[in-house]
Amino acid sequence: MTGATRIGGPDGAIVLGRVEEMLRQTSVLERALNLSRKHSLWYYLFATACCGIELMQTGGPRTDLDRFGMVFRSTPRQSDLMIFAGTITYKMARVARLLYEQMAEPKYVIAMGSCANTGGLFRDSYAVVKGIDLFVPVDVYIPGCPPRPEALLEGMMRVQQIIQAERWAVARPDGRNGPERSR
Amino acid sequence: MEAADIARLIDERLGAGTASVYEDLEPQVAIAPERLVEACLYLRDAQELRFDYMRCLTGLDLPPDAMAVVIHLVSTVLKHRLILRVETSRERPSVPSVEGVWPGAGWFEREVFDLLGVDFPGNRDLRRILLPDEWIGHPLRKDYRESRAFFNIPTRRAESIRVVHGSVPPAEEG
Amino acid sequence: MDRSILQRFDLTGGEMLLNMGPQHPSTHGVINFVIQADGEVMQKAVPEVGYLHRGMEKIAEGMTWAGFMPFTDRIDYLGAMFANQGYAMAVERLLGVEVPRRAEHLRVLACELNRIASHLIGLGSMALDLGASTPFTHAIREREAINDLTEELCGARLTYNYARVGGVSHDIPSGFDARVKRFLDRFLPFVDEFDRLITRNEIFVKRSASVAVITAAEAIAHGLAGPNLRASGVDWDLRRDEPYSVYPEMEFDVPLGRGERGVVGDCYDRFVVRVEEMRQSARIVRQALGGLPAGDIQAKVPRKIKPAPGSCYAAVESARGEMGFYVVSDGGPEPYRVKIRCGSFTAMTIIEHKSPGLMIADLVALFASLDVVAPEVDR
Repeated sequence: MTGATRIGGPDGAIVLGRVEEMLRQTSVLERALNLSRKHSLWYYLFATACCGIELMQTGGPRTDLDRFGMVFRSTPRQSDLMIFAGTITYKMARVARLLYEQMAEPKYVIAMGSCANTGGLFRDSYAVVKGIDLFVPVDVYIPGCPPRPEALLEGMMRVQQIIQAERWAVARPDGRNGPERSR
Repeated sequence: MEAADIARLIDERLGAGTASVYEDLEPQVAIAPERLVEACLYLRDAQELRFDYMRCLTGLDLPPDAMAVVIHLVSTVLKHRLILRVETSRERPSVPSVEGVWPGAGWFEREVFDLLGVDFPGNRDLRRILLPDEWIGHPLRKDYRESRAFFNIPTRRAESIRVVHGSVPPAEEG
Repeated sequence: MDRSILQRFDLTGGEMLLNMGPQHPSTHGVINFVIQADGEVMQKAVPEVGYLHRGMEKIAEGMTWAGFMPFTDRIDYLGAMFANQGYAMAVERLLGVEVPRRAEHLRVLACELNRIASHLIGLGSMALDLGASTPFTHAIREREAINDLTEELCGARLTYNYARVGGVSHDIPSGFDARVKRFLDRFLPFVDEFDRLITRNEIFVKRSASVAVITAAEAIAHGLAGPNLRASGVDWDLRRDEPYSVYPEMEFDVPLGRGERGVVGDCYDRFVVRVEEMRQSARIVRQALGGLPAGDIQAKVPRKIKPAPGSCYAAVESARGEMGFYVVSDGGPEPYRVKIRCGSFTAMTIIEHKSPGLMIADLVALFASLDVVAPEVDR
């Protein structure tokens, strides 16, 4: 892809050049569908450690996530977006993978904080998974320890951009149902 | 009350040579493993000692041939504190459980079992507490080595950034 | 859930065996309960922990003495200042360093503000778990004000890394005491409002009074600490009984559970003790700020910290009880062993003991009233 900009980690990169190209060609119906989807993004409150507190504070009165249509759900069955907030250990990774698989497509994953990105400051630990993209595909990585509410909000708005750029009228290369994703 | 006085009281009650003083910044009372439970019962119930609150129980790995279990006690009634020390061998570490004396000790002992491999006969529920059951090894030991992967998740991450300044050893496998 | 936990149950009766957790909105963090229940009434609830075990004690053995300080924030993320102070105190005792008085006052100021912030989340979550979702947002709103203050003080909202071995890292900026006083003037009426809305609320009282009573003897035997211990009537507070820092110069009361609506040591008492502790912390903050002496904020400490061989135990009264650090030095630049003793760890041991006969909803009330955070249990 010439002229495209890649940001993010090895999996789940956001490809900006292609997003703009797709936006020019998307039909009105797809745009309307994606608009309504991105403005009611229900996130899964998967908080393990300190980033979980900042996630809760972001849902609080000052940086209000509800005004974006983002409400928290406590069950993966009702959520679109799973935010891995906090350190994931090997013991928890099995459970987290199960929860990820219980979400219905289309689903998105945010890695919030250093611990979820790469293991964070616990990289030397024997019990910590060195980044959640070792067992789930990730869409957006948010750096920080913990990231400020504004940073988390920016990450969630990136997910909104990804959703806006999805195309429904194009068949997916892997043959499954759902919009074509840029990953 | 000072550690030396408490050691003397224990000796008077349970026989000479039961307790000795281990010199440290805050002196500790060392007790042999086989006399531990009697000594703890005495420390908890004696009127002049009344150590009713066990605040911490931890283990130390002392290679090449010893391990120690350290118990911190405090008396909420008489407001004095004591540190007990029990030494055991490193190949087959075993210290009697004090869960019968202070029920809160149960989980502390499970943690020492999990992370250091010390056996606590008398503990009602001695199994791993912080690590999954299938874990191999006891991480807090000084000679612990990490495995290559757990539950199909690799333990090393392929570096995507190469450092060009400074001296960094090349990434090693496993 | 690990299979070995099933050996704790008698599976012949045909009762339900449920998993509550490890991901559950009412378990404060990733803690699992395996519950054997006959309908709504439990026969036994066994907690399973370790889902957030990050191996901090092993990491400490590879880190320098001063370099371990940021890790102490992550032990109890809601009470990071206490962990910082506890670890710094342990190392200072090993080194024989005396902390300047100004630094001690700043540490006390920061810790008591942190205690208020921690209790706000604890009380808000308890109300949320029992069904009231609005008090949590009120508590978060107040906590944002404290986050702003600590951000001015040390640059971080949650993981402060404020204390250093020998002092603190930053001095107060100009105008800070006026802003703290403005916050405190607004905060005490908020606590009264919180009392009117929640503490005296009929539904809340019915859900928590006389539920899961922990007697004083049980509390001491199981090693409960902090507000949990004091709610059962045991008058033990490290700030007064094993004094450290400049707490001997501060005037404050230590609230005890009195069983006003039920029995001494029930969930309601644990709630009320925390509300009262917030008021007392506000008092201490005023005194710490008012009597702030001039001077250095950091003592002279060698660049490479290498304490003489020996060991030391230092404990602080954190929001969740006693947070103790047992550090062992072998004379090298890295700790030989760091053991962290937390109040939430011992609070977990009493749950299995109390669970027979409770309803599942009461388990939620008990667990919320104990104010447990998972990283303290697992480290």
